[in-house]
Amino acid sequence: MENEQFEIFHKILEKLNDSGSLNELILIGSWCLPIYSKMYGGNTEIQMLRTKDIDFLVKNPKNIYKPVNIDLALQEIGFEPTFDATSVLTKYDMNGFDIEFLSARMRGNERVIKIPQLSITAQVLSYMEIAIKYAMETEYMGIKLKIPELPAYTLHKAIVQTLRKNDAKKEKDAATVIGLGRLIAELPDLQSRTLQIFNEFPKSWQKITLKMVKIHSPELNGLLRN
Amino acid sequence: MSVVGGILREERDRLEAQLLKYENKLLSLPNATVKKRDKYLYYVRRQGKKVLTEYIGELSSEKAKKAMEWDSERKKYKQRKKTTLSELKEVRRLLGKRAI
Repeated sequence: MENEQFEIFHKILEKLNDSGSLNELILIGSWCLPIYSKMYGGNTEIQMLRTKDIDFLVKNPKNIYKPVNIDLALQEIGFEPTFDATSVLTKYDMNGFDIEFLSARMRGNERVIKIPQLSITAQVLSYMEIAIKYAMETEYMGIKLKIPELPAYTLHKAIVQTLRKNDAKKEKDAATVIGLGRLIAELPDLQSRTLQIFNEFPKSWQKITLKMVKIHSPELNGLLRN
Repeated sequence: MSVVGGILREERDRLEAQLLKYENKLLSLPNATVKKRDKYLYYVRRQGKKVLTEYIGELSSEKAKKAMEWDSERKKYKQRKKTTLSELKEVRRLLGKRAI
């Protein structure tokens, strides 16, 4: 493993953990992949390519257990807030690493919400409920954190892939789903859990997922259609 | 050392391990394709310039079904190996460009 990137990642997790805010967050996005790789014994089907964006989903923006100033906490470890004037979204940047906060859709059409109890803003995206409902706790680099269960991550990625407008991201998401689909096909526990989560999806989500896996993942297609 | 270089090296290592996994899988399967002829199944393999045919059994036999399963596996892993090689080539090229 390359130390620098994981040092920065560990620093972020440690700071958020020490501040007490990690309880309110779920790590999502491509930085879950190294964690899954560790959980599943370095299985080679799990891609290691990831962006320098580290995405955290705020579990319940309206109901924060303990107010924490995440903005200040991140600045204390060298992250600079970068402010998008059009969207009001604030991200945090250091050496090209970008930390972004996300939220599931709530009532209203806001694309960005303010979360004053955490002193951050979060981008509102669809289908984030999947990561919230199927979050699990794990330990990585000595820190307890929440990530989506691998089957939930995979199915979510399959849905999101269909929505991508950027071809490169679309292709990357498809490659992630293909790899994770193959891993799921190797492990009976993951197969049954994937099917269980899929069956709990609304019909419209199932339809989108099936359309995607029919094209990209014979393993998931076979599993979900049976 | 750059972070992006680090991520690319991890991916290169993963792809190399994956390539080895697929090659080992292919080695564990019969090195031949199957061919149906009438109601029977045969292995067909090359030995230098020669094409050798080996009788497996009737299509309905367990032996033939197993051979067709292996053939399907072999095609699958051949394709995966091909994709992995292509991805590995790309990652190595990117790493080469970064002179790391």
